[in-house]
Amino acid sequence: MGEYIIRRLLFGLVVLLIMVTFIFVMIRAVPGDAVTLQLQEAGAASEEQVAALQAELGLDKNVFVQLVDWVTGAVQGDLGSSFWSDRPVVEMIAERLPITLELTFISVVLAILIGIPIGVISAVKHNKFIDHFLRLISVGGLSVPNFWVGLILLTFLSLTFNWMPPLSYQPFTVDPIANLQQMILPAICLAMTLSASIVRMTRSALLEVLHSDFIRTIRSKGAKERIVIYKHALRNSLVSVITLIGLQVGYLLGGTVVLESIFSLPGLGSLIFETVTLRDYPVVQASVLVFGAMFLLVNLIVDIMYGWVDPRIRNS
Amino acid sequence: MNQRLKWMCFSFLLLLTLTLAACSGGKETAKESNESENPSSSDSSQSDEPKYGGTVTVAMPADALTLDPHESATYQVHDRAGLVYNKLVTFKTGPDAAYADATIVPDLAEEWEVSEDGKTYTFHLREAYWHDLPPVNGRKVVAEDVVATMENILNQPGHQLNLLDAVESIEAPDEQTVVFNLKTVFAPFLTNMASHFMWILPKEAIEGQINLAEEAIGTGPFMLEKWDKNIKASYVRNPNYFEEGKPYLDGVDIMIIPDQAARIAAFRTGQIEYMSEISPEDWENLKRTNPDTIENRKLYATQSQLAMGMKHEKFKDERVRQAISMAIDRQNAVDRIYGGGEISAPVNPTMGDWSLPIEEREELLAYDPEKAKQLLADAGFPNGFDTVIMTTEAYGEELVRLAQWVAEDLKAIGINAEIEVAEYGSFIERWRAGDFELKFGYITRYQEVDEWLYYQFHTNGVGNYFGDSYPELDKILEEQRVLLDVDARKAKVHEAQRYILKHVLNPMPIVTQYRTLPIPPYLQAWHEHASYGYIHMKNVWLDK
Repeated sequence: MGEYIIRRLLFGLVVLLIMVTFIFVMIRAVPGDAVTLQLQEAGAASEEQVAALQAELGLDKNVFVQLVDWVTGAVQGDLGSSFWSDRPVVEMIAERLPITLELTFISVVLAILIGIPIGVISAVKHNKFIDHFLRLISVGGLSVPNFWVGLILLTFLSLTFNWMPPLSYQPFTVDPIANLQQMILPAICLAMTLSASIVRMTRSALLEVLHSDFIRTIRSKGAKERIVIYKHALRNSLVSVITLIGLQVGYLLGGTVVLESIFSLPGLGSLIFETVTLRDYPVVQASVLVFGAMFLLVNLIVDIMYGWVDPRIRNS
Repeated sequence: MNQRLKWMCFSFLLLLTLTLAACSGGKETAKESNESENPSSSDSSQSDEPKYGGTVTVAMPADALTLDPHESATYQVHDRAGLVYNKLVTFKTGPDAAYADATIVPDLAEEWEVSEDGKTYTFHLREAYWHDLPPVNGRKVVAEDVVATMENILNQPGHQLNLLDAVESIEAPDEQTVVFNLKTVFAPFLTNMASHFMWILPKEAIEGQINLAEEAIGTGPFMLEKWDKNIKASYVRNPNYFEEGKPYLDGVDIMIIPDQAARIAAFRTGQIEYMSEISPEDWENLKRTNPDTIENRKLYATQSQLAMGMKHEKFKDERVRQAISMAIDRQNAVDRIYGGGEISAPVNPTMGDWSLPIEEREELLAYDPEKAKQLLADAGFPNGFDTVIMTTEAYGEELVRLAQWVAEDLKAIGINAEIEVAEYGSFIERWRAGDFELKFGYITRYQEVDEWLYYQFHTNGVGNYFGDSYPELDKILEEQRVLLDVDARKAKVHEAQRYILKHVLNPMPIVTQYRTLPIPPYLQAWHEHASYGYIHMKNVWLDK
């Protein structure tokens, strides 16, 4: 198992390197850079000013030289400084990452709490009215964009109940109630899509298991239906649900970019949102790197969890 | 069991429908009953004695990246700078001042004189004190502070530098006097000193004892208490502010809310007092739920402009440019898209009678598609031509809609204009590189007539990116700069605008729209100014 984890981690590093190179080159290929934007802010500028600022930000060098410089720094834990505020990127990310982690965690928990029970009901009541109804809702959850639900929720709550979450962000450690009020709406939006996929996956996996021979054997032994479903069938269908969650966390992280902006949460997602517009390359690169690392880590955890859920994998 | 579930679902849906119906029904009646009270409550100029206390919360879509006003020219930096800093002179605000009033009033300078030759300006400082914070610890403001600030501006690139173009030297003959010696007579000088780029900083800041990026220690009505980046900046009342008894507010909070729908929801629920402009549609909705909200409609301090890429042969023909200008139904466009506005001119209409009178604007920029077609045919394009209008969504969707309107109008005379919506960074880069045929956008909110004209149209103007050169116009623009007599200068400024419109020079003014900047009814003395810095905030009070 140890060797397996190390191999996966090394493989992850390669993936991250490819990803960072891609982002590094792509964001520089988009027209407009921090130099143009900063000098635009400061009114008109001469050629010399442009050249001076380019040199200051290191943008006058060849893009691959820049990449090598940046990766060398990154390996040593130095992700550079923001082109705009001059703050160390590591510091900016450290400030914002916990917010995104909390949001993602709450969303996943919420999605599991909603998704699995509904999936079970749907499977057990296979082809009955309630099954059709729940499937309809889950298709809805998959089709409606989560940022749209966010906007509707905000507008609806302020219109109907004259309520919206407290404005200025409060860390959980300072004011847990305000913090949860701020987290719950974006978490619901993010959980919506994920729980819809969980419902569908739980339902189909459970149905498959319920039709297998060993379930018939257990039933014929006279086991209670509850035991059949929860102890035997559900456990056996969880592997695919867990795989799905691991893969979907990527979408979840992507969703934070827009939802954090809508709900004024100063997390890593809204940092990307702000800095892409400003062409703040070091911050964008580092944030994408962190997002990528989170995604890989979650999937590694998922792989390890397979063993925990399914002893057959553990022993093989 | 199944039957029961079915019933439960059915009753849930029924309940939901009924609740929604009840909600919307209730709202309808509430609106009607409140609408009649609207006129009386929307009168913000109450004669009551100002009350002390309370905090005004302003929402901004993005946070400032630095607090250093010499480092950045963004409104995020300069709007909040005005809470903390003062200028030597400032613009007039108040119930009897216009939104973009150009009247210059004392700020840190109590009074000033101009020498007879018009080349020396002497400012006498008032008795004012820096905020009681280290390292200045409430010391008196002296002339050296002003000199240090100005020298710092002169040593940095950017728009600020252009405003001090004419300055030869700055002296401090005594503690309370600052003298500016100019190279030539320069009519825009005093207005430029009132520009939001001219905040006076303590000399300790210039010497590096204050971290200007993170701290703000000035003479203004408010002091920076705390800045949680990307969340909130809190300002508290300065008890030693030089205007006796002011400000009335305990503080001002600047809250970062990136999303417009979230800002409107926050306004609706009373969590913020001010959030900059909202669209006509959003205003209609807001009025329905919060009927006593004051619309606060102002003519925008900038304008939409259509720029032509002059490297393309077809735009070099004046008849083509005239045809384009004549094809656009400006008044109809601004009324339909923004719910009102004016046909613009090279000097924005907010500049009062420095801009051309509205009748003249309407005449010079009249809508005449027939004549436009004729001109196009005369220029050798009887069947029109294909072109692309580059615009951006960064300024809001209305601008894109206006661009679409322009494209439709152009289509009517045979010019097949495609709209290309570029992301902001690309838009700026391509604009600067001249990589466009037609470019549609707003321009900086200039404060001085000279900025509107000389910067954009003079051969050496800093905003004339492609060096378009019209020697006849250059002469008029240079002449207006040295006329100290207001009427004589105004006549020159009008002459220049007529010249620009007659020859349809780049960029072509389109419209100046009204913006709705809603405020709650209890916000009193909210007489904002078109320049940055919330310079009216010292007079604002809450009636609640």
